[in-house]
Amino acid sequence: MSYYVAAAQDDFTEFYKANYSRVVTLVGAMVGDRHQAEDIAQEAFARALARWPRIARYDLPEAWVRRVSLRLTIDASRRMRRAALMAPLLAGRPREDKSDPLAATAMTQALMRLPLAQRQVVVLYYLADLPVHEIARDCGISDGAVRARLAVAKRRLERELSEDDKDDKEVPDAR
Amino acid sequence: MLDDDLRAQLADWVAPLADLPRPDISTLRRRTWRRRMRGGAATVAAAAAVAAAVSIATLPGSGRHLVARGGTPAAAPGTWYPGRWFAAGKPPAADASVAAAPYVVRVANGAEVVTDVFTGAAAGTEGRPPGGRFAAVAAAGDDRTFVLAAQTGMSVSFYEQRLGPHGRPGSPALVFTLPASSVPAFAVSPDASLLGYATPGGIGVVSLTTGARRSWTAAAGEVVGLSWAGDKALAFAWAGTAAGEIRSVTVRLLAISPPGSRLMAARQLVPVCANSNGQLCLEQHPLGAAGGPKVFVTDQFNGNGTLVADVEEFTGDTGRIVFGDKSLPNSPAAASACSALWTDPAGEQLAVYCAGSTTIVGGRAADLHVPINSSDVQNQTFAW
Repeated sequence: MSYYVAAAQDDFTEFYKANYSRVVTLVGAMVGDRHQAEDIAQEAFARALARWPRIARYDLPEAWVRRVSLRLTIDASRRMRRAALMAPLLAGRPREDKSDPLAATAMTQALMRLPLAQRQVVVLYYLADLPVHEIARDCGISDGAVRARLAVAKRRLERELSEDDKDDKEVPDAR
Repeated sequence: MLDDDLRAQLADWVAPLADLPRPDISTLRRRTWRRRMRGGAATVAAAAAVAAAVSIATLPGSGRHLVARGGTPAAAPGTWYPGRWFAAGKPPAADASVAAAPYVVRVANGAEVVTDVFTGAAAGTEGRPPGGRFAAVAAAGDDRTFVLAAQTGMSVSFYEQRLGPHGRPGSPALVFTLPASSVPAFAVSPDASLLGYATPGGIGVVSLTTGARRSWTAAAGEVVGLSWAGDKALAFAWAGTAAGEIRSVTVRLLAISPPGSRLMAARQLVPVCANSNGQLCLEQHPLGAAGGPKVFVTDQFNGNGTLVADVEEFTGDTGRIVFGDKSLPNSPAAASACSALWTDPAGEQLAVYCAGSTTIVGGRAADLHVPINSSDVQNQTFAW
């Protein structure tokens, strides 16, 4: 049965083109790793493709992809923690990867020191510009919990970034 | 640190990621294929909770207004464009033959083509709408007024169009837009004042005269076909789902005047049916008579290993089958392609398309040139 009538495949291609960069950016901000972000974003879109006839009828298909990405980020974090391969993500030491634009920046280090749950609300609020109630729905928590996580995360980020700033100023000129 | 500072720092930090090359879509297909080959990966809980902010509304007898009553206005999304709607003409008389409705509209390659079904001649064509392409079409009751849907980016635009003399198409008027990534199943009421459309998990109706909206939702399922049966009731095929799988298919009749927003309160015309192996019958493509309350339903079912189809007629008043087994071809090829295309306002005559040919049931035989194939009905790219 055909529930919706447009050429589904063409629709998905347009949807994918329009949203891929946004999703990979959001995921990248959450995991602090370019390759991990690309992998998660592609997986989320692949799942959307497999279910496209249904997802295409949602008011906001991109919200579905975003939520899947959030889940995949959590899954990846758990997997890596178990395998002890996620030292950068968990311990705040991003892998040194010259091809990764996120590697070894102060923002990466500051963000990666936050627990993943706080990181997610920070990224969704400050980067994706989502309202609190939508973040709450995405993360499966209450509005109050979102606000609380935001407040704590912001304080920690301020502290981390100002310390990094101070460290930079104290580093003597190598020449 | 101000919020705006943090926002700007984050945006600068991740900006290089936006320039990363986007993998070809074949990469995604391979991932999908690999997961299927593995026997299915873990299912991610789909988010999509349907916000069912629904008003209690009523429809006055004129059928021209959806007025909120005793609650917040309908929250169904969309943009209505005032002053563009025009009423359909008077429907053909109840006893009119199919000859009173010679024009059909078909969407092909993003444009529309009007054809006279008796001569087979193209009465006119209309190019693509601005910034998009026509994707689907529905007919009002007068054989002159049609509503075309066009996909433009992440929204769907509905254009109303009236055919002029000799079926020549006039300029389409934009009457409503809906945020959606693909064109939903939709239907326009016989008097062209109401547009009904499928929403995720339900049905929305917008008055093209006032812009008022209502919506009805259900817990789990999809609307798989829509048709007005008169100006105050919508017949719809409903696929009930569980864990993403279709578990039941029924046809229901939704009266839009009473208050309430529960879609499952709509009366069930056709119950769930399955063969002895548990295979579901597919009741779909409801076609309501413009005068109401008759509804025709195409029923495809798998009996004795052979796919067969019939078109059954129900009365919207009683939910009773008036008659069934309309002597349609009884072969897999025919059955997979059968559907009811047109009926007169009284529901006395019926044009049925089956396996490449169109016949009139209950009326005068006519030599018809209906320029469609089976996917046109399925995809709603054809309206009569």
